[in-house]
Amino acid sequence: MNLVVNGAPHLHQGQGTVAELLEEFHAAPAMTALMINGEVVRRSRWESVRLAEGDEVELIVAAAGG
Amino acid sequence: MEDGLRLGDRVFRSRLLLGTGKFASVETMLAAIRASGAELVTVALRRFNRERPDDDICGPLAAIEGITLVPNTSGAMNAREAVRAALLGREITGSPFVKLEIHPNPHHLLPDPIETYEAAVSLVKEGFFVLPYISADPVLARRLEDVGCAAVMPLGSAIGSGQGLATLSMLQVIVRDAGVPVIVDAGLRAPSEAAAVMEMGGDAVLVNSAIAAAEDPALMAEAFAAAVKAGRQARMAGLMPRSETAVATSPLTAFLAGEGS
Repeated sequence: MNLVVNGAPHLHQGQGTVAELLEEFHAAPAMTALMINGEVVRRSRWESVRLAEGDEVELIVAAAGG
Repeated sequence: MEDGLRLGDRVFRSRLLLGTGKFASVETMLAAIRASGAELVTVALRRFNRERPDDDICGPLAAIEGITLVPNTSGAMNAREAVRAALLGREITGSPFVKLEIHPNPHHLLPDPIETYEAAVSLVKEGFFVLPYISADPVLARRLEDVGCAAVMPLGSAIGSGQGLATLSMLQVIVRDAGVPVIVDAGLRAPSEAAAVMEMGGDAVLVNSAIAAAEDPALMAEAFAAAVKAGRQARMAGLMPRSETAVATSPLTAFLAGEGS
């Protein structure tokens, strides 16, 4: 499935679950926030959400800042 | 808790909030946070970078006990983006606090009051303890208080400028009128400025560049902590009234003068 993740094309190999996507990126689930097509997807919905062809995904983490 | 800083439903002992930007290394940042005694520490958001997964700041910060993270909305150009950033920050940190900052112009980084107000209204409804970064505008401060912000954070001077308390007279008005804590954020350079904020009745200060860009950040963090504490104590003690003339501290007895003089 072709996705756009953080602005770059990404060929997703799984069934479109959030857990699979995070695994593909080696992103720590507890420290990552998720947006799909501009909408913030709360952690409580991660299990029920399925990614679809062409989805634009943002994986966001905390960084240093004032 | 004695003389705590109440924000939302929380009470904090420390009145020094710390930003985590600009430190030369993670180790330097952690040493400065520890030395500062800060309990509220701001973080920003960025895209996950698979080439640099270790850049994530949450891991190192988890090593420090007793701190609450305050995600900021830096990078947001308008209210809609700020609300989205706040939701993302809450997902990552689990913190109920958000430092609401919307400063679209990179030249002066001054906050957009209209977008900030709109975002504050939404975020309060979302259940956040909203800490809005604002210009030193007493009218806006009051409006943000009225819509339920947990504090207001007027700037001393431009972010990262080290120009100190350029807005002092307006800060005094905000402090006099505010019903929520006033946290002076941005522009401070010297601990004496932090002390001055506390002496005039400010509730806390947020410092980042002055500590991160010091030659010895941990030592500067300690200096700011001492200054904030001294300023607060002075405020609690009550400063003596000013007099336009000298008021003698020793008895001005006449016995040194000769007879008949």
